[in-house]
Order: sequence, then C-alpha cells, then structure tokens
Amino acid sequence: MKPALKFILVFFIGLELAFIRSLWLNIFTIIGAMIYLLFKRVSIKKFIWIGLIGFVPFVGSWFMYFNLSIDHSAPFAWIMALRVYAYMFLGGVVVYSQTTTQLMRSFEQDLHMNPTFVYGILGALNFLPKMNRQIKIIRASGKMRGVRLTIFSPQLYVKAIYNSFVWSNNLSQAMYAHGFLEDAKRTHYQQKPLTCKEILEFLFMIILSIIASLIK
Amino acid sequence: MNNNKHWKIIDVILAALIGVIFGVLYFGFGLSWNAFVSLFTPLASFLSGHSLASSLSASLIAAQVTTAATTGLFMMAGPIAALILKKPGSAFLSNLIASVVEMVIGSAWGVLDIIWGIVQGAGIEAGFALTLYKKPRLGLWLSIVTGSIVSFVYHYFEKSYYKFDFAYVMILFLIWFLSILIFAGLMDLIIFKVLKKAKLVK
Repeated sequence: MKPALKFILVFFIGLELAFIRSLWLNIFTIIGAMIYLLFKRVSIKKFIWIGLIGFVPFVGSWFMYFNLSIDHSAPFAWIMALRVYAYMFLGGVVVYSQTTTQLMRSFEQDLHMNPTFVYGILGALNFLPKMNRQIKIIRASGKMRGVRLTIFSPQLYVKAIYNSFVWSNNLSQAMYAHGFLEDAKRTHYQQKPLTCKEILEFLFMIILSIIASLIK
Repeated sequence: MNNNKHWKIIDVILAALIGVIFGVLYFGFGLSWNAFVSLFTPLASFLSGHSLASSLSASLIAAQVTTAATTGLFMMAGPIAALILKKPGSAFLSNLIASVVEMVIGSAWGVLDIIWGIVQGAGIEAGFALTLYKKPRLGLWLSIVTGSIVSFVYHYFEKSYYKFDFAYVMILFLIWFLSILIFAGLMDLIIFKVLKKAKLVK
C-alpha cells in the first residue's frame, strides 16, 4: 500500500481506538500490525523496544482503570491497557515500515500536497538527530556555566529556536541553490500512480476495522 | 516575512524545525511523565489499602491531575510558531510536526500522539484565526482559551471522563486551563520577548 494511504489508515484506526471501547478491535489491531511488521522484516530489536517502552504505561493504565471504574470491571481495564500496545504497534507501522522520504514523496504524488510543505517538512525532519544533539549541547554548555537548563527554563527554548533560525536559513538557501522554486511545476523521476487495487485495499481495511469494533 | 499569507520554503522549514525542537523535548518529558503516572498509580492504590474511596482518590490524584497540570507543556510548539511566523496554519503545522517527531523517536503513546497533535494544533490555530493573524498578542490569549476547550473536550471523551463527578471534572478543567495559560501562554510569551530583544523576530 502507498505510504500516504497507510498513514491515513493508521490514523483512522487510531481514532476508532480512541472512541470505541472494543477489546476485539484492540487485539486485532495489535495482531494485524505485528504481522505486517514481521512481513516487512522489521528487526526483532524494534519489537522488544516497543514492548519495553509500552510496558510501564500498560501496567499503569490497567491498574488505573481497574481502580477508577466504579464496578471494578476487569474487561474495561484490559481494553484501556491493551490500547497502549495497539497505539504503539500502529505507530510502529508508520515509523518502521517506510522511510520519511517515501512517506513525504507519497504525500506529494498521491495526495497532491503542496511541494513547498512536503520538502520543507522533509528537510526539517532530517534535522531530528542533529536537533537531539544540539539540545544536549545547549544543556551541557549551560551546566559548564553553572546554569541548569530544565524543561521549564525559557533559555533552553530560546537557544534551540535560535539554532532553528540559522538552520532554516541555511537549508532554504541550499535548496534555492539547487534550483528549488516554490510554485513551479515539478517533474518526477519515479512515477507510481495510485492504483484501483490499493484504494480497494484501503477501503477493505477500514471496513474490517469497523466490523472488528462492533464485535461484543 | 512581509507577505503575510504566502508560505515560503524558509517559513515551512522554520515552523517544522520548531516542531522538531519541541518534539524532542516532549519525548524526554513524556518518558518521565509515564514513569511517574504509571508507577505511582498502582503504588498509591496499593499503599492506601483496598478501600474503594482511598484507592480511587489516590489514583485520581496521580493520573488525572498530573495530566491536567502538564498538558500545557505539550502545547508549547503551536503558539510560539504562530507568534514568530504570523501565518495561517503555522501553529497547526508546528504542533503536528512536534507530535510526529515524538512518535518517531518512540514515545509510549504511538499513534495517539498524532491525534493529539492535530487536536491541540487545531485548538491553538482557532485562537489565532479569530484575530485573522493580525494581532498575535491577542491571538495568543484567545488561542489559550480555544486550545484548552478543544483539547479538554477531546480528552473528556477519549478518557471517559463522563464517568466522574461533574464538579471534579470542572476542577480538572480549571487545572487544565491554568497549565496551558502558564506553559503555552506565559512561557511562550517570555520566549518570544527574549527573541524580540535579540532582534530575531518582529
């Protein structure tokens, strides 16, 4: 399936999970997403990572909803707890089964999003590791001067935003230098138009998820 | 940044980069948030014995109040981007990117992050849209109101708050609103003022 369609599908199922309390929808989502990730040959390390990171919220929400609900209903607690993993595996489908470039390119070609936004966002997302490092640098240099920069200190944000000013300036200059024009029509090297089969697949998955949510 | 409605590539990159900054910070914050809420709740209900009332109150204090008190932190990206760029859609874009980045790094909320990013972004955007992007300062205060209402209404349904007492939900909303006022409102204003002093923004 096209990455953009997959993204919309995942988003739709996510909304369903948020509003419909159905145990079967949760279970089917988790199993389906796991099978899809296995099929895409995602490394087992990433499965373990999802399992580890979700474990604490899983246990926490089970106890929370078990205690919260007036009748102490275990099924409701299981729904809310399994939802954590359903969300995480859905997130895994978006994050691990394709690259950001593929996703953004699909947004441009299949959904006809404005290329300025597509390439701007793609450029910024590629700064993610650099930004991660930069925030560590800002905190470390603050510590050297005896200033502890926490999440509550505006200084940290101001410095990071200053960096993003510099980087956005540099990156846009570089893109202009490579011939990027905002409103020009673009040609594509690889063209893969949306097929009827993919749209049908998409609709089939949505109908399947609705049926799963109706099982009591 | 003189032509107000037209998005140039530099504006898109800047808005998205602001989203990336906050996404990285949200992730760091979300980890400790989850550890606190999830470990504190079972512990509190265990320590307070098995009586319904005490375990109920303990877990309520742990989870709901913490959620309400920290919600403003997760809404900081939108207002600051709108204040800097003053363009339609900047708050929404920034908040959405922040939530996507948080998910990509691997937060415990998965796809819920994106839904939250869209809900919060739309709420903040509504406030700035009410002033037609002409008065950013007024838009900031309006966006706090609209942002807190929209996000709370969504939270109300998603977390089944209708199971609780109405007065209690109202108190939660008050905490919710104050948190957004402090973090998304005042802190963003301070950041904006410092940037303005440094002559980086108009």
